[in-house]
Amino acid sequence: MKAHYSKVRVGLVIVSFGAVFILFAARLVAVQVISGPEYRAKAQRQYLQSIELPAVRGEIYDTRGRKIVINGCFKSLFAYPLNQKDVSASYAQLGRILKMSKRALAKKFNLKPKKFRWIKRGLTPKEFARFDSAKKGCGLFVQEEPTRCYPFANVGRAVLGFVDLDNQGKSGVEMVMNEYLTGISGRSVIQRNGMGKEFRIQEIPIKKSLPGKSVVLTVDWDKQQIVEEELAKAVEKHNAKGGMAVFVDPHSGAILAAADYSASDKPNTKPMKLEAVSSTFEPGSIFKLVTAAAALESGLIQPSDSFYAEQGRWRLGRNTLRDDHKYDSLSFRTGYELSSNIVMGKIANKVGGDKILAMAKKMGFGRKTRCGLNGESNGFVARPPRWSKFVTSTFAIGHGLSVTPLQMAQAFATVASGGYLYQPFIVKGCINNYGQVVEQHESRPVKVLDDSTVAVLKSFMRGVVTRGTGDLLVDAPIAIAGKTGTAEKPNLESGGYYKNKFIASFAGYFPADSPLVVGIVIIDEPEPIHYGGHTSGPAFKNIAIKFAALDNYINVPPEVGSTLDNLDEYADAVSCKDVIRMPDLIGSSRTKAKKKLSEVGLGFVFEGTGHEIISTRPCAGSLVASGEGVVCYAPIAGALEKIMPDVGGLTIRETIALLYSYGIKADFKGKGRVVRQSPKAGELVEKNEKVKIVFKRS
Amino acid sequence: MGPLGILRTSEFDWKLVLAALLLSLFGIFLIFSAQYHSAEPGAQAFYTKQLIWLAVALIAFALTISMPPRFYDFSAYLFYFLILIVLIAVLFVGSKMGASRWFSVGPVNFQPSEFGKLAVLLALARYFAYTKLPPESTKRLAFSLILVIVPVLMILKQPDLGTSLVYIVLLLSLWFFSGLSPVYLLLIVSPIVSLIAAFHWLAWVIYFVLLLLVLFFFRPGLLFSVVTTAVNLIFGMMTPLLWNRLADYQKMRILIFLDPGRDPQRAGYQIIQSIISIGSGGVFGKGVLNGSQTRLEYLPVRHTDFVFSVLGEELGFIGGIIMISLFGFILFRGMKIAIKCRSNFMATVAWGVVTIIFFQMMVNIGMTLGLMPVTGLPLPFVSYGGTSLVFFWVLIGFLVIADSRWQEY
Repeated sequence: MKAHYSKVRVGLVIVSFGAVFILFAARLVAVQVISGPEYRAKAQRQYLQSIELPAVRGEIYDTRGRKIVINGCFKSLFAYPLNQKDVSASYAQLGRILKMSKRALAKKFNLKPKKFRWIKRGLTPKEFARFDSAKKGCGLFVQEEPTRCYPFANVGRAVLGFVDLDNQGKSGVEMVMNEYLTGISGRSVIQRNGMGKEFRIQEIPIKKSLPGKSVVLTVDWDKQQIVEEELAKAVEKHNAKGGMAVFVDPHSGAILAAADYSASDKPNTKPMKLEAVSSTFEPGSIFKLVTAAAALESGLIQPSDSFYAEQGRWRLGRNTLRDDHKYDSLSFRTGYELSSNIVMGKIANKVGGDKILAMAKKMGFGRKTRCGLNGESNGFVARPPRWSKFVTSTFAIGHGLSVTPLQMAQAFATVASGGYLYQPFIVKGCINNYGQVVEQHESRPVKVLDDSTVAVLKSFMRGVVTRGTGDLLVDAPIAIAGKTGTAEKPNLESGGYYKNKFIASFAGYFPADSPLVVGIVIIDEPEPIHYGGHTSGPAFKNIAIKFAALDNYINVPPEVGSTLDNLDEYADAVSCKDVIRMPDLIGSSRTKAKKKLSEVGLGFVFEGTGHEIISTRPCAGSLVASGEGVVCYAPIAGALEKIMPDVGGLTIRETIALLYSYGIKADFKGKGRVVRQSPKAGELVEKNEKVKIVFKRS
Repeated sequence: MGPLGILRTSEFDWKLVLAALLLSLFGIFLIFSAQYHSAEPGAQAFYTKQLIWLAVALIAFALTISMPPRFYDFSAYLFYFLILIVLIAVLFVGSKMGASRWFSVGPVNFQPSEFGKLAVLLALARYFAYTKLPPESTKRLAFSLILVIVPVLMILKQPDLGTSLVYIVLLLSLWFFSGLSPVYLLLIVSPIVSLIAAFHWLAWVIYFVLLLLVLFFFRPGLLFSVVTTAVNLIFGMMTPLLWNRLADYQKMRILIFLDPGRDPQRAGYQIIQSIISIGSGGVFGKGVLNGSQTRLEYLPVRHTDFVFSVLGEELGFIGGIIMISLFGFILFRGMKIAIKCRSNFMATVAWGVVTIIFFQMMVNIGMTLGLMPVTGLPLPFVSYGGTSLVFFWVLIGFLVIADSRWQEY
């Protein structure tokens, strides 16, 4: 037992011990000092996860301030089985949920452990109920995804367009305004712990999502519904293939309603485009407006100038120009009113094709109106190779060219507006999250017709209704002016025209003396009656009457006004637990509002630093998908004055909707429609002031 | 000198005891931090339990140093047999966490294999201190091997590979300390190397040639050489058989040690998370109670086996170096004591103490740093566990006795 005194041995041990200590120290330096930041990042990566907070999509309002889309959500089923046992359990459960055989399911989905797979995006309520009742934990999960709901059902769907599964607009306003509506998604960080499946998640918002901007349309959903209903009625009544209609405010170009209808197709919930702006047709006689305008502007022809109407058959070389009736001699005015092809042809030859073509271009034909909807067509208006007498005549009566319904409405609007060309538009403006207008359409009218020309054309068009081809419209309680059109449809296969297929149209405006609305109704292949004055005309008349009733130009008992009730029907249709009615928070304090919102189960964000809620988005009574966030505005005192909107003629419901969207409280008196408001439109509303609205049954 | 009179002697190594106390307090603090955010019921109270255990350990320490060295010398074999009985008993009675390592006495869980180390240490020290046989004597080697192998077999049956390794290493170290030539030691260890080398035939062939060369140059004796060669051959061939005999978790531990990334979600998870914890601590650490790895429960068994990772994360490189230095200090002191001590018995005990502390520290910290396979050996003084804490304080007591009574034979 002397060995342990050996220096060699002790040295050996000390060296090996020392080696271990040096190794550890070196390892600590390597791991902590050199790679420290790298491991720190690694640690963060595994416990911090950045997730996207999707922004609430902006809303869409119609011209009266009504919300015409609602942010809702659908439930999507996905599979994420952890192991083989989960896979077979998932198949068994899917069989019950989707009512499919196990084999079909295996073939369709081919589930694998730890593989994510969508099963169905958008479960039906029944399917969800079956999922809900089944036992959980076999690898099937349901996730809610935001989508759009349309409280007015199919009204105006082609205008609005639709969104895809990812809530991105795919057509219509949803697509064109997608950039505005989408908003900016926020980011949040989730912390998760290391205990396998049991995540403890704590959300720390880093960047709030910015809700999309809301879009206000020019379309009035009441009018839209009227036009859609009347168009459908007319198409069915006249055994036609389909129809299109556009109505525009002549003094701004605002599109009030735009519809298309097809007799054979079912209502399309995912329309790719609006036919009224995208499809073209050969206008026929309604184009005579352009010829007449060109003739009057040229000064070569006076309304009273007389032309020989060739007894209905005017031979021009190998071709013949025909009228429906045999006339001896007609003045320019009468020729227009009776829609004589021969008279207009002769006038055209006197004026010259180029002048008519120039006038057509001036009135907006041959190019997109850029109204703000997708899929617009240019139409086709071009100089023919040679202005022969016949070509000039046919051009003058609307053949050899194609136009969109909207272009035609735009041309008629130049007359109705007193000679100004307004670019048609559908988006009035955008409102940001704070209720500020961030973008607004500005009309830039261009004077295209002399006042004298306009006066004459107006008298012509009123004459069409009082004395001419539009005589069926004369009995309307409101003075309508316009032009009929009955065009043979071109046979695109063999060239030439069908003798038995027509496009019947009526374009015009009302009231005749001071036009408020201009529009066009087109009916495709009506049978057996094919005259525009007898098919499209009456439809136009019905629409005009209802518009007038709606806007109180005449005292006709309104049939519409039920539109807003759809909202309630909608609420019933959607399973009630998913949709919550927004409580009325205006005037309540922050704490009260918070309490109320948590009670009903809505997420919320406060904007502003004040104590009193002056406005909410969405407004009280709106339907909000459960779990969706709402915004309450509580600006600091002093910034509380608001501008009173014009509520004249609105129903009680509409008034409530509009005023709430402005954050204005009101006292109501009477029933029916608004006849008086105080303060007047455009005046300031003080904080806590209750405005007074008086209704009266008309 | 009455009991504890030792404390008054100028020889009493206060610094050594202070270092051990610092490590123990460090441990309690780390256990507190490790389980502070735990959702597991009772886990937050672990540190109070450990505090009580420290009191028990200090009493055990006081008792240890109050006994004269002769007491241990005389009672070494008796103690050895007592512990053997307990170890047999634990195989039948004890059970916890799938492994029967524990004995429950009332509310206290007691791990007899810790005290098995103590018994084996004393028995070996006694044998080596008094045997007249030369260090290379086969009889001497065989007897000491038997002293170790009997408890090891029982502990392996529990099963606890890590603890049994401590016994083996203790034996090797004491062989070395009591005069066995390093060449012999290497040759004795050689079958294990053969075992590992045999995972690849080429490695094994190279190893075998090297072994033969060593035997040729050092000529340790014909019988020894023949036995060594034969055992090496047998072990080399046994590798595949032995591998299949290992429990799955044991195989996995070895594989994971070789490549922690092979199963990052399961077995390799512990090592990866440990290295991430230590690495993310950086130079100064994330601060007390602020380690995300610890707080969010990424770090497994963080109050016991991976307590060093908690330290690395929350107190950083500085904390790690301080702890390693404390261990280094204790070991350095221990070694000095072992060399200085005139009593063969106490010197051997002191050397054994140094061996056990060093080996457990190396394996545990090495494991948390990814330098050693996962064995489940606690970090001396620091890891949660009462038996272990008491055991190490008794070891410190042995060092103190060996130091203060170095002149006694």
